[in-house]
Amino acid sequence: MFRSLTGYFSNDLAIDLGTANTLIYMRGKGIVLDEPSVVAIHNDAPTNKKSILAVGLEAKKMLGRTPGSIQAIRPMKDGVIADFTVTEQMLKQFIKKVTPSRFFSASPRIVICVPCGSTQVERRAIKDSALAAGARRVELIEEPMAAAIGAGLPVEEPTGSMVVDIGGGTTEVGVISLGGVVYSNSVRVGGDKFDEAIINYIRRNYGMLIGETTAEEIKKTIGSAFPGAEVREMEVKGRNLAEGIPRSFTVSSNEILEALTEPLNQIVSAVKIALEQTPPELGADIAEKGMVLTGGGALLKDIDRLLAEETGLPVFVGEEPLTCVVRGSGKALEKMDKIGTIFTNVP
Amino acid sequence: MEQQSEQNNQPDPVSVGRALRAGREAAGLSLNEVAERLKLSLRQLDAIERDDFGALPGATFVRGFVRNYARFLEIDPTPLMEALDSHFPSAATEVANLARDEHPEPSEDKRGGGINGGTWMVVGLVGVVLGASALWIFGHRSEPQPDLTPVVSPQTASDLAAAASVPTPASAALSAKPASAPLAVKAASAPAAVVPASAPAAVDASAAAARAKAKAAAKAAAKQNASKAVGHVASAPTAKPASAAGAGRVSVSVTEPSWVAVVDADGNKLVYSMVVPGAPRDVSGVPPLKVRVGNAGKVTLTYNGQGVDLAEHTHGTTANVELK
Repeated sequence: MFRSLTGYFSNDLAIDLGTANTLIYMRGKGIVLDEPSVVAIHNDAPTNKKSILAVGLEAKKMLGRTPGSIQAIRPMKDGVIADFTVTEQMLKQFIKKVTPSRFFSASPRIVICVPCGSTQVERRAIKDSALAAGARRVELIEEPMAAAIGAGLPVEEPTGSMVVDIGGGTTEVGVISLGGVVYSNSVRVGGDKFDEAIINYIRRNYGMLIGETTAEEIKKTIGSAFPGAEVREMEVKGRNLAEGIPRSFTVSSNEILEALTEPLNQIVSAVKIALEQTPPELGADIAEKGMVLTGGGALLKDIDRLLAEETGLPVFVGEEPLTCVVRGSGKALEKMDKIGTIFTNVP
Repeated sequence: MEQQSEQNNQPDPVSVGRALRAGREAAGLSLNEVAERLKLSLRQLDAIERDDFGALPGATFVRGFVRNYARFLEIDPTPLMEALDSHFPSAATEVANLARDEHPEPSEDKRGGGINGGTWMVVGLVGVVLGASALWIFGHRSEPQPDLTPVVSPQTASDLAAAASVPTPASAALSAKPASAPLAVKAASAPAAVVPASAPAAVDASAAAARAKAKAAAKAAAKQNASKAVGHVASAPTAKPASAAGAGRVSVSVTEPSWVAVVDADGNKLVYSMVVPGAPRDVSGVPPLKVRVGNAGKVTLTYNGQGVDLAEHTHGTTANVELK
C-alpha cells in the first residue's frame, strides 16, 4: 500500500539518454522532453567556478560558437558517459524541467536505456548518474529491447524479431523473442560517425574544413545510403584550408554517399553477423517479417534499401524512429510493477 | 474489415490493397519485380493486395510493408496509413509526444487536474492524521486527571508538615500510614529532591530508627529549600491526607524540560507529560512502577526516597526503569 502511495506521488520517468538526444517519458503522460544532449558550461575565470549556462536545445545552438569562458559539451560519447559530472548535471536539469514542483513529490523511479554493448562499468556510471540526479530507483533496459517494444514488435511472443537501432553514437542490433534478447550486438557507429566521415571526406577532397553542425546539415539534406536515381546538390560554406578564408562550394549526394560508405559498411556487417549468429528458427521468422530500423540513423535516406539489398530481407523503418527507444522504455515503465524480466541488472 | 476501412476512409474509398495494386499496374510492374525489390515473398505481396492482412505477421509489419510498397510505387503513403489506422494502429500513436507537439496545454490542464486530485488526497490524509493524533492526545490527557488529587496531596500534605513542623497533620495521616516518621522524611525529601545530593537514604524502616535520620534530613532539606518549601506551602491548596497505603512513591525533578511517564502496575498513567524545571512531580502508585524518561541526563528520580541512578538504564537519552 505504501508503494502505491509513493507511486502516486512520484513521477516515474523513462529516459533515453542518447549520444545525440535525450528523451524523457513520464508515466501516464507521454514524451515530455526531447532535447539534444548538450550542456553549456560557464567557467568563471577569477574564481575558477563552473556553472551550467544552458542545457539541451539552447546549449546546442552554442556548439562550436562559444567564447573562451563558455564550453559547450556533449557529455555522452559512443552511447556511454564521457563526462560523468556534466551528464549528472544535465540529467538533473532535464528531470527538473519535466517534473512539476509539488509539495509532496517522491523522487522518481527511472528506467534508463543502456547500449547492449556497454560494459558493466559504463552501465554502472549511467545508473549512478541517474541516482545522483535524484532517482529513487533505477532500472536499466537494453536499447534493442526498448527499441523493439517502441517499434511495436511482438517481443513477448515466441517469434523472432530483429531490430536495428541506429543512434547518434552506437548502432544496436538485437534479435528478440519471448521477452528476452536472444542476440545483441553493438557497434560504435552512428550519426556522429556519419558526420565525421563527411567532414573528413570534404577536407580530403575539397581541402575545406566544415564544422559538425554543417556536416549534420549536409547529411540530413542530401545524405543517402543507397545510390538513387536523382542526384541532389547542396551549397556548403567552410574554411579553405590552403587559403584560410571562408569559401562556399557545392557537394552532391553521390559524393556524400561515397563519404558514408565506410561507416555504413560497419553497420551492414554488424547486421550480417547478427543474422549469422541467430538460431535458425528465429532466422526463419526474421526472413518472413524482416527487420525494423529505429533511431535517428534510420532517417538517412534509403538506409532500409541498403540493408534490404545487402541482406535480401524485407527491411522497413519503424514509425517515428527517433522516439522508438523512449516509447519502448516508457511502455516498460508502465509495466514495471508487473514484469521485471526485460530489465537488465548491474551487480 | 475491408468494408469498415473503406467507411473510415470516405474521401478515398479505394482499399489499401486495391490502391497498391492499381499503382503497381499503372507503373507496369509485375508482382515478381515488386517482390524482388521489397524482398517480400509473392504470398505476402498477394496478401497485401487482397487486403488479407491477417496473413501478415502483425500491425507493425503490415504498416511497414505497405509504406515501403507505396514508397516504391511513388504513391503517397499517408492516406493508406490512415486507412490502416483503425485495424492496425501505429505503435507510435500509443504514446503522446508532448515534447514535439509544442501545444502541451491540454495535457497541462489534465496534469492540473491530477495535482488537484493529489492535493485533495494530501489534505484528506493530513486531516485524518491530525484528527487521530488530537483524539489520542486528549484521550491520554484526560485520563490521569482523576489521579491528580492523590498525586498532589501527599506532597503538599508533607510539605505542610515539614515547613510547619507541627505534628498535627502528621498525626492526622497516622491513620493512613503506620508511622509518621517516614512521611516526614518524604516530606522533607520531596522538595529536597531538586538538589540530588541533599536527599538521604530514607527508607520505610521501623519508625524509631528512622526518626533520627528523618530529623536530620528534614533539617538539611529545610535549610536548602526553605524558601521553596514555603512557597510550596503557600501555594498549596487544601491538603488532603495521603491515602495510598503500601504504594511506591516516585519523585521526579528536572533541570531541563523532559518527558516523563510513570505507569503503575494497574496501567494508570501517573505522570505522562513534560516536566519542567521548578515544578517537580511526586506521585505514588501500586508498584511495580514503570518509568520512562526522556532527556535522562537532566532528570533526578527518587523512589520511596531513594535516589535512582538513571545512567545505567539510559539508552541514548531515554531511560527505562522498572521500580519495584
